[in-house]
Amino acid sequence: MKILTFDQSKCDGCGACQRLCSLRKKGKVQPSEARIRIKRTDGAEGESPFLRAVYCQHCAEPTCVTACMRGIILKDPATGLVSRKTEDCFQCAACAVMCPVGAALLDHDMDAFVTCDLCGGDPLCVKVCPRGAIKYEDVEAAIEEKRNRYAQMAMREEAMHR
Amino acid sequence: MKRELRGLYIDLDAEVFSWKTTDLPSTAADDAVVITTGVLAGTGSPVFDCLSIKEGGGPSSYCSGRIAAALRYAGADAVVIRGQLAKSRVLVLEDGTGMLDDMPVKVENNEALKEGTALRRALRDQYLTDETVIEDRAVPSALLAKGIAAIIVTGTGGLAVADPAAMIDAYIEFYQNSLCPDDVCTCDPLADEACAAILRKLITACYGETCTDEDLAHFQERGLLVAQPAGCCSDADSCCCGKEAE
Repeated sequence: MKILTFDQSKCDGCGACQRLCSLRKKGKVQPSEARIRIKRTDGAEGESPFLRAVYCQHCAEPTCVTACMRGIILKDPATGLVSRKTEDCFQCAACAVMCPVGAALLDHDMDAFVTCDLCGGDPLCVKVCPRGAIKYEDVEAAIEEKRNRYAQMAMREEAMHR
Repeated sequence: MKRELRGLYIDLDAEVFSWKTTDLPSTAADDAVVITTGVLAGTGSPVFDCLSIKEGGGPSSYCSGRIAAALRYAGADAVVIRGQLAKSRVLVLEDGTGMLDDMPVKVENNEALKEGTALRRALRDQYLTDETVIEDRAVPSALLAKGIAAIIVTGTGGLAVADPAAMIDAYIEFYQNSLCPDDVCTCDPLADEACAAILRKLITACYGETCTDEDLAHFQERGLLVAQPAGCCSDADSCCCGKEAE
């Protein structure tokens, strides 16, 4: 199974992913309704803002699937993809409330809650990220890379405290 | 290529906000300050999020982080400001509405405004959302002189694109050929044929009319293409190119 991964250290918050995601999904540029959103949180005085990407994680056990009252959110056991029949959504917002990362958002043109569908296996955000902060990779590779990054960070911190 | 702009006209003396559709302005009349967003501002790459600011005379291009895009998402392609405020205030634009708000903290003078970390903190506490862009330290002196200490823009609207598929293809080409992002501050888009070709493709896809070299020159002359001046990174928090402040 392949998933989107986000490297916070590479992201500069340019927003290209958001803009082009909305262009593909809505036919117009509207970053506030993109399926990937870069959130800024102020750092301490003099520090850069803290950036994180919010998008569907296609969880192993998605709470949105159990929360949906109409049963229109499905997880494909073979690919791991969480998808939804948006035409049957009646906007109860249960999926948005239950999502642990806040990935579900209301698309005002579709009148339905939507999430990232990985562009059918060819995510546009990956192609247009100028810093290579977003990758589409196997879960195992993603976990390994995350562990490596964590180890490097821990070593840097250790060296700073010596 | 004619570009119709939706302009917000602000009379500071009477505190009146009105909307007009206008053609591309080439000069600023009387005491007005004219802010115009770039032809591709907000469409895909922050590389193109430039503003043109005119105060009398000719245009001056001005790279301004994400505020050009935010203005367009808020529904304003241009802002024309006339008149003079008696004391410094904050200009707040939110999805087609505009207002002048009192300063959240007391700031002594324009120099202190440019320093402005206390002001920045206060503005963020008061206004910041995911869709809000705050411009304070980089507010041009023409606006500071009119009494506008900061511009806060919240835009959640969408920008129409004539041919989304063609625009996506052009942006993929733009990013995958590594045109610009790292060199944005010194880039002259018309000096490089590859860059000009991408710009023509993007503008054609965006507006649905064939963009020629003459159109590019016309837009560049008015400061509406890339052409960010060196040192655009005065505001590292929101600068389009992501470099550290110089």
